[in-house]
Amino acid sequence: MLTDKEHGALKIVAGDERALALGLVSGMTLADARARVPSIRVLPVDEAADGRLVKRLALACEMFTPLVALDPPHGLMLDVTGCAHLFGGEEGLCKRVRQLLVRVGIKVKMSLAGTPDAARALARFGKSVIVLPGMERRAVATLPIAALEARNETTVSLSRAGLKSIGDVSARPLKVLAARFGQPMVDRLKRILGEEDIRITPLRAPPDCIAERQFAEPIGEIDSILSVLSGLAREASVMLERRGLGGRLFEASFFRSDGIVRRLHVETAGSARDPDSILRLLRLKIETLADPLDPGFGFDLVRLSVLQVEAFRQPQKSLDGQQQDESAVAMLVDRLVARQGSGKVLRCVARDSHDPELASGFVPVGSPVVSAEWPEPEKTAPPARPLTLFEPPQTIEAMAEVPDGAPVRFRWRRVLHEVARAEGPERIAAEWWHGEHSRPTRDYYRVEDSQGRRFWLFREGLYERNEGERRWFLHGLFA
Amino acid sequence: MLDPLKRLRDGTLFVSDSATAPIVRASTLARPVFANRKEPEAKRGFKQLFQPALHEAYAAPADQPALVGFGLGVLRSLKNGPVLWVRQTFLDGETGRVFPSGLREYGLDPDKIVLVQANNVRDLLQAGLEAARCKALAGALLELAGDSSLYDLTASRRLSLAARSNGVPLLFLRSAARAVPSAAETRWHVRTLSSSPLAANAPGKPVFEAELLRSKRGAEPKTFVLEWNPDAGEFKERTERSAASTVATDKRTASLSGSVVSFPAYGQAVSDGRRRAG
Repeated sequence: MLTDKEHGALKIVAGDERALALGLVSGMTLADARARVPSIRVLPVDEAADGRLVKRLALACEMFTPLVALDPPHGLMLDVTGCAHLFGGEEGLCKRVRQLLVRVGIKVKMSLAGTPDAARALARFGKSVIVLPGMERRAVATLPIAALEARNETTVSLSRAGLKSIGDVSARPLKVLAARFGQPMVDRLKRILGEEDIRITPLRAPPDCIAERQFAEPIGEIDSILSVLSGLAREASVMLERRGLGGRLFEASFFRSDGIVRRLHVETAGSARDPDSILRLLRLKIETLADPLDPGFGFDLVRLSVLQVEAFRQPQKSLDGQQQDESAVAMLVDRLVARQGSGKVLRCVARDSHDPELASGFVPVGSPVVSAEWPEPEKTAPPARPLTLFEPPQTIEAMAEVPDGAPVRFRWRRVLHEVARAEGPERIAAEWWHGEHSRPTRDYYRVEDSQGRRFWLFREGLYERNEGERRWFLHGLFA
Repeated sequence: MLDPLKRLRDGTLFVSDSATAPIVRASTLARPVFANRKEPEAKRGFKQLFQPALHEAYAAPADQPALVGFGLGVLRSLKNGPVLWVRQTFLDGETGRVFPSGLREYGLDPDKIVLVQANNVRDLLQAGLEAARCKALAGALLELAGDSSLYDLTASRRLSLAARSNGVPLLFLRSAARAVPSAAETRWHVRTLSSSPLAANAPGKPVFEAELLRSKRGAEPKTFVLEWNPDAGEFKERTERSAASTVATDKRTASLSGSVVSFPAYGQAVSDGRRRAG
């Protein structure tokens, strides 16, 4: 028995079969129900948990069709156009869906019809049926007008007019209905009658390419799973090849027989369609999972989908073997990404900025960011920029002989460094177009201490203008 | 020109490997001729010590930047190719994050560097092993700060084997760590040294002291003083630690720069001469 608060009183919103048999229906206050049957067990309703369950089931239902949408409250809408023959016709498909959901412990009401609205009306207000194409009008005729799910006033005035069922309403001229109750109600009626069709918006965009294998008996052995995946990789590869495409993002979905779906994603640095390398990445991923692939009672269906495709670039064979080297490095990068995660494998990018903090950085190897030209370093000069940079710069305590000169000594992380050599200042102004909020100008010094350690220090603010305290920072370390 | 080694290098001394082999000019000798003879192996130059295998370099925590500079320099001077750099994530807080503009200024091509941020030592060793198996890499840099029981003889043997059979030089950079028995080809200790000052007592090119502690091929322990030349992408060996001795006198010389002009026209001509030494 589930309750929810409504107008300050606890009301029953749902009950199980036994509760219904005792005559406890939703809408009753909890106090009334207790008065009739004192021994009922009551739980507060948890919409969020319900939502999570429905969403999980929706993903599990993706084994039947990639087009699955949520149909609130507590409903699922599957667009099975062109999918039924895979499960032995519509009858077979409905049986499989029912099996899956019953196994999870859900009571199912389901209908299959030509339009989503007709199916919804039949499932929620009628019996579970499969409507043959074109028969929607007859199938829904006996449904109560509540199936229109119109506003309360509409329903009330329809029933006052003596119109009790959808059939009664649909016998009236639509123009009159539209004038009395508004166009939306008529649109809805048309959709329920199967005269007008709309598409559902699936939970996840359907992938570009899918290869899948169903099993009569659920499989659980890791070896058989891998051999299935290798077959799927080959199929996907053929499909991609026919269309001149390569995949960037692959997804392997494992549909467990108890309705739990496990998904693994594999990203590649370039477009790929070689089945062996796809399989190698998937195998790596499976081997390094933090929580291993748990087959439970076995997987019903294994699917390999390609979520991102792009034009396949044919690797060009050059005489010096450089191309080969490049693809070998790309494959190494793919393996590293599969194992360590894509945010952990990085490449350098240059940006058009003279602000040292913005001038260059790292992005994940797969990122589409294009690097600017690297500025040419000055010939014969020692490196002008440090190998490592602190973000944010580290505060130091520095002492300079002349207020606008290089420091003589400074203290960083408790250690006092005597400055032996220094060069500077290199004045780096903030980007003025950022306006008032830009940070003060910095005077940078390259400094070497008596031990031979080299630092990049700066003094904040213009000495000429800034009367206040001059703060020193350590920004980077030279080799 | 009495030193035979120097004459060998200059090509003024000719050697004959065996009775049947033709006389070969020493400067053109490739590795195989010397491969199974320990004696000359021990006398080869700095670069030749880095065979494609596992090498270890140790340094004090404060010398971490020098260690990285040494490692990057070694790989760059061996081959200008793609490099995999595996770094512990926490090092970003200790030494700052890697700065690509700095890599460019150091004479490297940032586009050829792939950085892997390893969350733990296991990931780091795993990535290192992957790198050692990729023949196309010019080398890999593994930065492991602090001691770790995971990097033991077995782990280093695995890395070393993979690196050698695929011909990938692997540099294991260890700061703040005790040396453990390992299968590394060579073991180094790296320290930073004062640079040769430029005009107006500006810091010069990076100088390191690399001490060869151990070599599997039997090279004598030796200390190299190396100056990195970013333009050539090579280390220049220096014979003496000239710069270090001058620190005391230079210490008090304030930089001659004004607030805007960084190089005055007059400078210390001496320093230029000193830099050419070695």
